[in-house]
Formats: sequence, C-alpha cells, structure tokens
Amino acid sequence: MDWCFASSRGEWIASAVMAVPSQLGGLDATVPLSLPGPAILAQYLVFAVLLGGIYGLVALGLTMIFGVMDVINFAHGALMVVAMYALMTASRMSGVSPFLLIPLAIALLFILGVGIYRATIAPIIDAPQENQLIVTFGVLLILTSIVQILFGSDPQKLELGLGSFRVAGVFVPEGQLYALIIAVIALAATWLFLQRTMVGRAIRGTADNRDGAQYVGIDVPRVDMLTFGIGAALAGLAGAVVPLFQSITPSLGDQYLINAFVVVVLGGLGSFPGAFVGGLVIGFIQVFGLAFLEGSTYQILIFLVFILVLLVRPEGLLGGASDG
Amino acid sequence: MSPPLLETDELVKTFGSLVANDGISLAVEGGSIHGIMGPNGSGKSTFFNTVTGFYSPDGGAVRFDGHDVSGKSPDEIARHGLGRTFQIPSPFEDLTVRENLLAVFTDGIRSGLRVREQKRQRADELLDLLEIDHIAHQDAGGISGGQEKLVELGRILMLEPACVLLDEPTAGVNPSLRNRLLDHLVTLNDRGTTFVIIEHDMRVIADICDRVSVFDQGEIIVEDDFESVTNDERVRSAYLGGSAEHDASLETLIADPDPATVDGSEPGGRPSLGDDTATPSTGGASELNGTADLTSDSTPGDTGVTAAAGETTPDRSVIGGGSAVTAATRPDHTAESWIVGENLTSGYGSHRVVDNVSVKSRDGVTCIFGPNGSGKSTLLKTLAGVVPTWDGQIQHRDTDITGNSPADNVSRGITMLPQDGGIFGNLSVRENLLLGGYTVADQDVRESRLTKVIESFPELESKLQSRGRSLSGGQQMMLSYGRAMMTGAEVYLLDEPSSGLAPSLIDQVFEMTRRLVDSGAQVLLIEQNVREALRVADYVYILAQGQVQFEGAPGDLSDEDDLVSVYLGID
Repeated sequence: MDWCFASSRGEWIASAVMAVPSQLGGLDATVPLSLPGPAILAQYLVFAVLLGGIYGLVALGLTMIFGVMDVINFAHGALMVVAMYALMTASRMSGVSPFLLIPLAIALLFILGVGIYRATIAPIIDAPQENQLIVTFGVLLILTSIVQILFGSDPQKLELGLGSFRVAGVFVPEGQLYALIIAVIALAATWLFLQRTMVGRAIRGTADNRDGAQYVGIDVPRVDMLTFGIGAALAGLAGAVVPLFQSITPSLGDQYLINAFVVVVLGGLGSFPGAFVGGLVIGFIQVFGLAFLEGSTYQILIFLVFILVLLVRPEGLLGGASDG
Repeated sequence: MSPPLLETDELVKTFGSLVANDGISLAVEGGSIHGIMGPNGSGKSTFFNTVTGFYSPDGGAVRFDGHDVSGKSPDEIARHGLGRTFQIPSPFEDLTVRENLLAVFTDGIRSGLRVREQKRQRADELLDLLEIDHIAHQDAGGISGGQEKLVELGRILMLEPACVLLDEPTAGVNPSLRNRLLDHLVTLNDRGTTFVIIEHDMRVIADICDRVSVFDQGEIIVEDDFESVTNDERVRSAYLGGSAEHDASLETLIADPDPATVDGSEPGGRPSLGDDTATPSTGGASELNGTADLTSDSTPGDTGVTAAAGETTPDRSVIGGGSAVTAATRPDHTAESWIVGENLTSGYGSHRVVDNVSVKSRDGVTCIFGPNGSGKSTLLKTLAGVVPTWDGQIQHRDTDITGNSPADNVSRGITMLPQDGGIFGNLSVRENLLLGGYTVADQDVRESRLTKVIESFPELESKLQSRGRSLSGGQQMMLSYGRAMMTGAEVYLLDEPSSGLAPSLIDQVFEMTRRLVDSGAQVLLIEQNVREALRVADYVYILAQGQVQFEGAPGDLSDEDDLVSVYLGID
C-alpha cells in the first residue's frame, strides 16, 4: 500500500493510541515503575503478548478485506462495536454465558457483512478506491450512530466475574487470556480455511490476481462477497471478545480501528501473519513503553518504529513477501 | 536540399534491461508526411515519447528546426513547434470542444488570463477546418472517440506547430471519419505542416505518407517509400514472424499430415492447402472418437478418470468440464462449432473495438490474426464473457450464453488463456493447477486431472511447491496451459500464448496447442507469429479495425502477397 495513506493518518493514530491505555483497562495499574526483576519482566511479557494478540485479531479481518478486494474497510471498528453490543444484549437477555454466544456474534456479523457488501460495496467495486473508502466510512458512521441511539454512549460492562490468576508470580488476567486463546484459534482456523480448502484458495487466488481468477472460473464478485462476510465475521469475533476484559462504548471501535490500521500497515497490508506480528510489535511497545518510559512517551516510540519500518520496508514487515 | 526539419541521431532509450530504442537515426523532411510502422513493442511510441521530451534519452540527440532539443521538457519542445498527439486522446472533459482549443497555452505562461481575439479566431478556423464546428459547444466528455481525435489534433494545431507527431490517429475511428481525418491531414500538410505518423492501418500509410520507416525491436529495419517497404522481406518477417528453423519433432507433428505420425487423432489431417475451404477440418471428431490411442488422453479430462477407474468405455466422453459432454453426443458434432459468436460488437467505455464480428470455433485450431489494435483480444474476451457484449449473440452448443460471466463459461467448458497467462504469482504451482479445477466439484476428478497435467508437463513436477512467479517465462506459460487444461474445457480461447517467449519456446507453445486439439478440444488461437501459426491453423480469421477482413482455410492464404495485403490492410 502506498505510504501517504499510512503517514497521513499519523495524527489520528496518535490521538487514538493515547486513548487506548485507559480503555484497555488495568494494564498501567498493575505495572509498577521500578527496576525490573525477572518476574516483572515476565509480567510485562505476558501483558504484551495478551495485548498484541488482541490487536492482531482486530487487524485480521481488516487485512483480509484489503488483501483480496483492495478495499480499506473503515467500518471494521463499527462492526466490532455491533458485535460487542449484540453479545452483551444477547447475554443479558438470555442469561447465557457470553462465551457460548460468540459463534452467534460471528454469524450475525457475517450476515451483516454480506448485506453491507451487497448494498454498498458491490455496486462500486470497480470505482476508484477512495469511493469505497468513503462508503465504508459512511457505514461506520451509520452503524456507530445506531448503536449510540439504541444503547447510549455511557460505558457498559458485562459482569463476568473474571479475575486473574497467578502463574509463577505472574498475573494473568483471565478475560484477556481467553480473548488471546480465541484469537489464536481464529487465526489458525482462518489460516487453515485459506490454505486447505478450494474456496480458501479461490480467495487467495483472487487476492493475487483478480483478473486471472476469472479465467479459471472463479466467480470474483462472489469471492468478494464471501471475503467481506468473513472479514466482518472476524470483526465480529474481535468485537465479541472485547467485553470479556473491558467496558464498552459505541466509540470504542474507532480506537481499535486506528490501532488496527497501524498494525496492518506495519505488518504489511493484506498479510495475515503480518497482522499478528504487527499486533505483537505494537503490544510490546505499548506495554514496555508504559513501563519504562516517561508518561505516554511510548506513543512517540510506536510511531518512530512505524515510520522506521515503512522507511526500510514500505510494504510492511511481512508485506509483499507472503500473502498468508 | 535543406536540412531535415526533425532529425534524430542514434537515439537510445532503455528501460532497465529493455532497450526500447536502440540507436534510431531518422530524418524527416520539412513539408513531408513520414510514416512509422512496425509490430507491437517495436519502440514506436517510445520513440515519440523520447523525441517530444516525455522521456529523456539515454543516448543520441534530437534536432528540430536547427536546434538541439534533446532532454528539453515536453512543453518547451511543444512551443518550439514540435507537437504531438497521443494514442488515447484525453480532452478536458468538462470543457466544451471550443474551450478545449482555447485552453491551449499558445504563448506559454504568457498566455495570460484573457483569451485574445486572435486566438479565438484560430480556434474557430480550426473547428471549421476539422469540421467539428457543429460540436463546438458540446462538452468534450460526451463526444465520440473519433471526434476526440479531431479535438486532440485541433488542440495541437493551436500551437501552429511546424511538425506534429501523431500516434495512431485513426485507431478506433470509424472509416468515414478516418477518411475525413486523412483529408484534413493532407490539407494541413499542403499548408506546410509536417507530420510524422505512427499507424497500424496500412491504408493510411499507403494513402498519405511520402516515406515510411519500419521499426522492429527498437531499430529501423527499412526506410523507403511504402511500395518498396511492403515488398521487403525484413518487413514481412517483422510482421509475420521469421521463418525460423523448427524443431524437427514439431515439423513432423504439425506439417506432416500422415496419420501414422500424428497418432490419428488430428482432426481430418491438415486441410491440404487450398482444397478444403467449404468444410475445413471435417472428420476430426469421428477419428477422435474412434481412436484408442492413449496419447490422445494426454489432456486431463474425465477420459482419464474413467480410464483410471478401470471402466471400459469405448465411447469416451470428450473432456467437457467433467460432465455435460457425453460420448453419445459426440459423433453428431462432426464439423460442429461449439462456440458461435454472431454479429458481435463490444468495446470499452464508448470505444468500439469489436465491430459486428461473427466467429465460430471449429474442430482443430482456428487462428485469429490481425494487426495490433484490430480487436483480437477483445473478441476473445467477449466470447469468454470477460468483456460484455454490446450487440450480437454468443452461443455454446445451441445455448445462448451472451450474458454469461466468465465463471459461468468456464463451468460450461469454455476457458480462456489470457495473454499474460493470468497465473497466481504468490500461490504455489500446485495451487495454481488446483485452482484451474475450481469449477470441478469432484475432488477425485480434480486430483486425477492434476496428475495428468503434471504428466504432460514433467518440467513442472519439481516445481509444485514453488511460487508461480518464481518460474521462468516458459514454465509460467506451461503452468497457464496446465491450469487451463485443469478446467477440462472443450473450447479453449488462447490469447497469444507465445507472446514474450524466447523463440525457442514458441514451438513448444504450438505443440501444447496441438495437444489441446488432440484431446478433442476446439481452439481459437490469437497469434502474432502468422507464419508459424499457419502451420497449425485449420481455419483462419483475419481481423482489422474490429472487423473480419478474411475468413477461410489457411490454403486460401497460401499466396503470401495476399496475406500481406489482407494482414496489413492494403486493398
């Protein structure tokens, strides 16, 4: 992806990342600022992996839609929010554990994604990229507003009674651990789907050569629809795990979205492993930066690393070399 | 004699390792019309771009009107009086035609804010001269392609250039407008404007050019008057392909109609040149049907599958997407055309490329020849469903498939091999091949076809896990053939599979094409290398300006002078 896209967003990303620590609650509180012993380092490591994994999960659907369709899906964060509130509402109304409702959120978001694709993206898939970008931005505003109208803007929390446990002196917050496990399963499942099934190959083929794909009988518009559906479903999964460890607001999606953009560009647009590598990089910088640097200096570090990576590898860490 | 108006001296332009212009020395006399012809990729447009400052030369010099203009910027050169048009005109779409002319900075940056009366007068004169005054107040975005060319010419003429370089001025222009355009050029030439014209339409060159330079592979191979140029063997080779030495096995395979050598599966033998016009390549089907020769199995189809499953099916079905085509239907289809396009018209945007063309596939190889820009690729893409049909009808086995998507057509057994091969560069060779069988529902069929394809292209076997883009050009071409074969099609539309390949590989391409035919498929083949392709052709269409100029058995083209005439559009 081109550069200017990445760099022009700088300001935005800065403001968003700033907002994240308070949102991804509890991290800074548990990390005391002192000379680190091995136990504390291990603690940071655990937090970094947990945070990075979630960032990677959020970036997954975004990178997939971009890789196949060349569409930058601004609505990704809003789709997450829909999933968050859907999960919370369903859980509250039915009393069923939110864990069991995650597949429901995924299915709902898949259907929503297909609907959004057919209504807004399909008619303009051949139009210039900025058209799609603005359309997805419109979808973002609509979805966020609907959620706001229905649920209000106050933070809401799903009371799960999840605490944390200690392993060898290291705290592991349960909510985030479960979220990470789900993220890893999602990555593995998506990976297997893309690598081992014919439909998955068709998706990768379309990502690789849209023109060539039609000559082997791949119905490219259908693949697009499926890709957007799966991308939305992945957003749904990411959204569904968020209430496990933090309170939610309708605007939470925006903050995740902007982080996800950094992660995706850093890892390489369209690259699956890149999404996780990028997520981990940001997670590490954020956790260790918070711990060892003054105030929120870590945000500067994030963007220094970001700019440095793009200078050296404009295609991102794993971009170009591998498409997953 | 006065020094030439425009002169290049050993002009060189390279792009990386590609030498697009390899020492071009060309002299254009003031007041003349100089034609430039040459096959695709011979460096004509690059030459224009280098001369007019859009590219900076890597060597040599350009002199215009006594000044060295090499390396000057395009606008400087234009103000020197050396104008140019582009192959694809790009008028200011939101301005009217007249405003397009007025928008020209006739005096460079000093053109100022006010449009001077003199300039208005010039614009009106030009609108009048080019006979586009009736559309003077229409938005340039809504005029026809031909009119765009005239507006483009008018804009350049606003600069009162001494010399204008025209890049394919008549491409995509309908015949009546083309004649008018040529008349205008001659009129302007009479008034003193010098023209250099890149043109694929040889009638244009023949009609108006005083001298012709023929480009091939970045060099001028001949420069003379039109008559002498078209009779020059080097020119013929450049256009029709050299009569290079051939692979011996290929010679026997293709040129020898002896059934013993050709394993009996070649449709009807080769139509002996000249006698087979009415029913080209009959009898192929029955032969195919009757043959028990295993080599005709080399293409994966369910033929191979049934054989593998141990069933004895004397009447095997012919490939056909692993389904529809049964052996029972096969004998009736002797000489039948599986895909038939009738009165097809199609194009891009408002640009009509294929104009009322009727083509059919036939048993064997049906070649489509024609100069560059004649609509060959667009025709195949229209048949494949990649480019929508504007008018006319496409039928496959008596079913109307006019509105089908490419995917629908592949499922029906119509596969196109695009010019660049269309392989998936980031996917492994194996995955490329597997995706060829995407429309095949039965995994076993797919796998067994894969085995067959790998047998046909043993060179790919060691590369199965490599990425497609890591293959050499020849291997990529094999991969794209193999991938196309995986679809199990009965009609193959091949768009210049030999393009960009080393000459030594071209024989292989024809051999692979032949293999498709041997498996019972009908093949439509676009080929630039006419001489080579005629060896495999069972039927020939020649396209020019989007229309069929000739169709018939290759024998009817045996007199190469006729071929040159038809191919180059000399009446």
